[in-house]
Amino acid sequence: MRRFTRLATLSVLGGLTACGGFLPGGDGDGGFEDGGARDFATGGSDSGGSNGGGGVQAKFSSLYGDYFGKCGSCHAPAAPGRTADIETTLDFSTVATAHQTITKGKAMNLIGNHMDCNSVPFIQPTAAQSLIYAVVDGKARQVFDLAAAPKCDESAISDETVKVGSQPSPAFLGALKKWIEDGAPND
Amino acid sequence: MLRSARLASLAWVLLHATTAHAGTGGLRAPERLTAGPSDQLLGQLAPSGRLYFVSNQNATTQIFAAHPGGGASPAFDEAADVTWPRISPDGQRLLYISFRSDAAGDLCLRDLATLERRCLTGEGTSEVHALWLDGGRSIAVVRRAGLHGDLQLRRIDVATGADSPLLDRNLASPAVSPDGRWLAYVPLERGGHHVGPGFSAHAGRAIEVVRLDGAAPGPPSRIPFDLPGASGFPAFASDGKHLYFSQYLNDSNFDGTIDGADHSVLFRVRFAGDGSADPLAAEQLTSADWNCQYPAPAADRLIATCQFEGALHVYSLPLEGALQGDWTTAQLLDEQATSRNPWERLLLLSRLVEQVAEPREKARLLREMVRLHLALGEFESAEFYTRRLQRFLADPEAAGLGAVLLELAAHRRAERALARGQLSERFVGDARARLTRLRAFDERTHPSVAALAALARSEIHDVIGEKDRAIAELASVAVAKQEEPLVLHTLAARSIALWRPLGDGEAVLGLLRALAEHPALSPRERIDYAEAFVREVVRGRPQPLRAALLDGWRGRVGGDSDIAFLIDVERRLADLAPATQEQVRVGVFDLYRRNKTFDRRRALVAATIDRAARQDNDYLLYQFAETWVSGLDRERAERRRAERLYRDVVLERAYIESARGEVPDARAHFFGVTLQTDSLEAHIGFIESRLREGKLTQGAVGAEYEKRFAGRPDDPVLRFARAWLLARNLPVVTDDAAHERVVGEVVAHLEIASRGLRGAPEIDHLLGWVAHQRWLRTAFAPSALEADTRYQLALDLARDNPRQRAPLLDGLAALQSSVGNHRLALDHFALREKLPFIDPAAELAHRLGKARSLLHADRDAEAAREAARAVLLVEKHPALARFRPLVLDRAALCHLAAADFAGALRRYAELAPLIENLPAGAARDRDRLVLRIGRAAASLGAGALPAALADLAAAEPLVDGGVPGPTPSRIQVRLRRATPEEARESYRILIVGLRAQVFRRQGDLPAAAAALLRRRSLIEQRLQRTDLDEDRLELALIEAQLAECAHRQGDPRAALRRVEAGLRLTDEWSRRTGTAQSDTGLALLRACAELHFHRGLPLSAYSLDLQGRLRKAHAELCASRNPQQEGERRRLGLYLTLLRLDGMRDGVR
Repeated sequence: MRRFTRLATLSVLGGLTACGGFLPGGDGDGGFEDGGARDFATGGSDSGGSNGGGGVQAKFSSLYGDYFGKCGSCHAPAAPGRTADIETTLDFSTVATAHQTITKGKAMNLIGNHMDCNSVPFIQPTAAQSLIYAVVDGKARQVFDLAAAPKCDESAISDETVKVGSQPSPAFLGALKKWIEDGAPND
Repeated sequence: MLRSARLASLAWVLLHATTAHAGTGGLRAPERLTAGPSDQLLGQLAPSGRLYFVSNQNATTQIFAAHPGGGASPAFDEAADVTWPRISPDGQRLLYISFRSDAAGDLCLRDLATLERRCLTGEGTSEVHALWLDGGRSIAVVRRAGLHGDLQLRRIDVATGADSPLLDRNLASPAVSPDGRWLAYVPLERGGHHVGPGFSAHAGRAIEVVRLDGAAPGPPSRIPFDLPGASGFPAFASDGKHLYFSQYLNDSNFDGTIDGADHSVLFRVRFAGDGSADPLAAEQLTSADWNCQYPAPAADRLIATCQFEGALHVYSLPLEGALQGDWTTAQLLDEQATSRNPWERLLLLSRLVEQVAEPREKARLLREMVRLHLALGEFESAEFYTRRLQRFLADPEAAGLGAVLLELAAHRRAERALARGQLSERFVGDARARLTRLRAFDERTHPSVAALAALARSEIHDVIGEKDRAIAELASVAVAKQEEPLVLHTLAARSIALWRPLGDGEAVLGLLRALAEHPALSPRERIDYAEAFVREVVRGRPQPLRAALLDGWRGRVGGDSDIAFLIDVERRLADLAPATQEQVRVGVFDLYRRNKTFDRRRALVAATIDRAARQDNDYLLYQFAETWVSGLDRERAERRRAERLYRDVVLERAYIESARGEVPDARAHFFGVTLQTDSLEAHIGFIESRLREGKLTQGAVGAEYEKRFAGRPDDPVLRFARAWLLARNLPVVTDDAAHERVVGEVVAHLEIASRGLRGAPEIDHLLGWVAHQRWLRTAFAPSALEADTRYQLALDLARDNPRQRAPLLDGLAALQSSVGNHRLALDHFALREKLPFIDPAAELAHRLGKARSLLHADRDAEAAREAARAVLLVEKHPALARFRPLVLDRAALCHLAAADFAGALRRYAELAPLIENLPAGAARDRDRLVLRIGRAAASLGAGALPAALADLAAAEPLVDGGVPGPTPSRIQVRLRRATPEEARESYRILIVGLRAQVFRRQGDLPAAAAALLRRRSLIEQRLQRTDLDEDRLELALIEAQLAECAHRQGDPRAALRRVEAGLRLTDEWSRRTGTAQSDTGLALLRACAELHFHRGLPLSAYSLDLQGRLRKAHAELCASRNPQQEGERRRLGLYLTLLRLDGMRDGVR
């Protein structure tokens, strides 16, 4: 290909005028492709901030504000991301509904590869056995093992953080673990 | 189906080689800075951050400057080719090479503020390259004195123009260090004594540096990089600590030479203050398949020109290149093992080889590099790394392997040279000599060396036609005894190349099976061969046979081997259909669950995704894309690919649901993608789905976005959403001022959006669409130009997305059609047809638009066929029923134009009852009018004269009764100044003309003449008002028709008067238009002559000089030599001869 060595006129494919030849944008560091994950503050009436994580505490209101609130983009009635085949128990509309459904509810309406996790409670005495923890923490998901639901394992549990579009911080995961093991209080 | 095309590409992401520039893995893809179908190159970043580059988009090569808010335009107008832009250190001036006054090139300067031009050189010398020196006070220029003179580097003082020698040496691409102390360049040697380096030169394989801060330049130091190929275009980093350069590693264009025409890879080395650089420490920065060169390091990024997305474009990279500097060996190994792109793997291997210290591992990596280079046909690199391997290991096995590999590379290079014309006799002789050398590597040498040598001999025997020996050599290699992976991979390739053409599938399968279980290979490699085995089993077999074949092999392999596993996967997928999808899912998921290794799961998911994509089964696609990504550790390289696959699957699912009418789920899935990325495509899908649901107004959707992006008013996505919501209202904004206001708001939002979303085709698409709307509203031509530019840019950016390309091509076709560039529109229509149509209404618009353009391009028969397709489409889709009258009317018109009168009458027959069923009123009357006129013309053509007259008789009162003409578009209003009354006038002219033709056909010449006179009167009135030259020709034609009537009525003198009147009109037309001849004029002249020759009219009866006119017309036809007018030319020549003979006869008398 001699294009590089030939700096004279080359054939032009179209009658372009000025304003062509340069992509919009000046000094952004945006990628050429889809730019990678966004960190949205979406969903719920108490829209969470970014997953800064630094100040998150092992209290449900803090967990909700830090990361769980984003789940309301899909897991809430009339949420913009709600599909017909979404899990139907969880409701992240508000702190209250989120706490209620997480602590009292079981997974329902899961289909396909995830259906073996139906009827599994979201919260168990330990984080390692809590479905709500396994869907946000990869390592926990890999070793998830519940005697009452042996098929609800690493194969069947989905990584919900992919759908949120951002990862929970290590501080969030630590706080969530502690909150679960503190009895999942409504605080 | 479009869906299939898109879904199939999803499998491609997982299964096959992906290019690094697509953002896969952790490699940092070059960030594209330019767009468009033309070439943009030689980018330079000014200290201000503004980009300058060379582009040929306006035919000549110009220097463009980017605008801060987006877009670019010529920095100045040289009115000639220019190149080699270089910004001064203070950013105030630009030097470049201009070809305006000197075809050999002049060094010129422009002040970037005032654009004042000054050239420092003139004719007599040829300037080639230039650069700033001394902080901008002087310029170094590579100059050639005379056509075949040597090159020299000269220093020119900018202020005084004083010119002094700097380095008397043939060189190219000089670069100077920021401190001004060092000059780097590519040394050149003349190709011959009499031919100068400008025409023939050999570049040195190394870069040279000389010191500049002495009284005279110091002696040159060579920096021979430890790389294959040749080096070029050195460039210093802005801090002087690195030297960047282009390296042409291989003969990628197979012309037998490594030079600037081959693919380039960018490298850099550390540059020490003493002018030395460690030639062994060259860091590879780019992938060879990106083909990047012209490095221009700026303070915080590297600007380069690359070619892997169509044309040449300017890109930006981190200064350290595509690989992240802090990656550990483990990360690099993970990326390398995961990558599907061989060049990407080579880039990663190049870094790994430097980082890894353990000798066996290093050797393994080097062997892998050799294997990849050989497979890619990059023989120079293969040889280079083979020698490095030999030096590194320095043991008999390495020496032997290396020797065999060198012979193999040399053989393959020689085989390639056959295609360039090397004589086969010499090739065969060299091959036999190679075989002799390879026989030295027998059983006494290391087993792996002996095996590799046998494989090499097999290949050579095969190529020179000695199949038996090739087979024997191959058979001598016992796969089970081999321990060297390189040998095993070579064995696999050789076996397939030899056995498959011979049809010996069993031999291929036997080998693949052995490799799938071979302990010397890694788990990934074994399963790759297992996949190849399964593919080979079913290759070329009809679907019904495949299950039985796979079952047969399943029984033979047994156990829990990789082959058994993959056969099980294949069998479970075999029956995939919508009705069985759940059953298939359960079966495949059961296998997934029971096989927990990464490689098996990866292979299972790949097979499932591939099959689901081919079958358009979004359910299975989604299930396994989600399962796959959920099971991968975030730290793994594969995780990024899996996330991308998942996003693509979700987006695809959204489209499928939207097409099915499952709008809420479509909306939700589009929304889901917007959570994960900045995909404007997903945002558009979400907004449109939201509105389609009907529960929210546009304002409410806008409010959702305002809430979502609260506190970030200039977020690019928010700005785009605002622009989108505003723009979609444009077609229904009736007030011109409001329309213009909305256009301005949309453009303002998009300018802000474009700053944060570089490379998003949706922005240019929307800008193009808005400009298109503006053109249709205002007929302001620059808007049409802007629309075309934006559409083209978006088309270039969306090159891999058929779903985005389709509406862009629709837009371009519609735009060009509206401007009247129908042939250009047809090009776009043709490209559009290569993509599927999802929406029947969109396809109908395409068919009708294409038919119209075909009609305007005088391709009437094709227009009729296209219109017929439109009719079939309407009949097939009940939802399009309301368009049936329009389509039938257009089809009838196309048939009419194609002289298919029977076809036209059929369409009118279908159309008539539809019109009669319309509600009474002006619109129906208008349609009746159009129908009657069209049907009359068709009847006339078909010879049904009474029917034609009846329709014309019924049409005329409709016009006279005040039926409104068609509402002209604003373009028609602005450009052609047509009004409804003028349209009615046209109908009258049409009706009268048709009536005249009917009377002519009936032989009622007085009636025909009367109608023609009336027609003439109407056109004369129009001519007085519009002064259109076309009407003059029309009047001339009427005179010709009146002449024919008079002639047929036996009155040649009256005919002559008409003909002469017609010629006066064509003369006026010629004078006004500057066109010498017209078909009407020639026909009239012919009639004039024939009245004399065939009707005996004496020349004295003529008021014009017949001979003179014939002579003039004949001369004009001789001058133009249009083949289509050859008959006419000969006829006129004959007439002139006859006149001359008449004259001679009269003279004799």
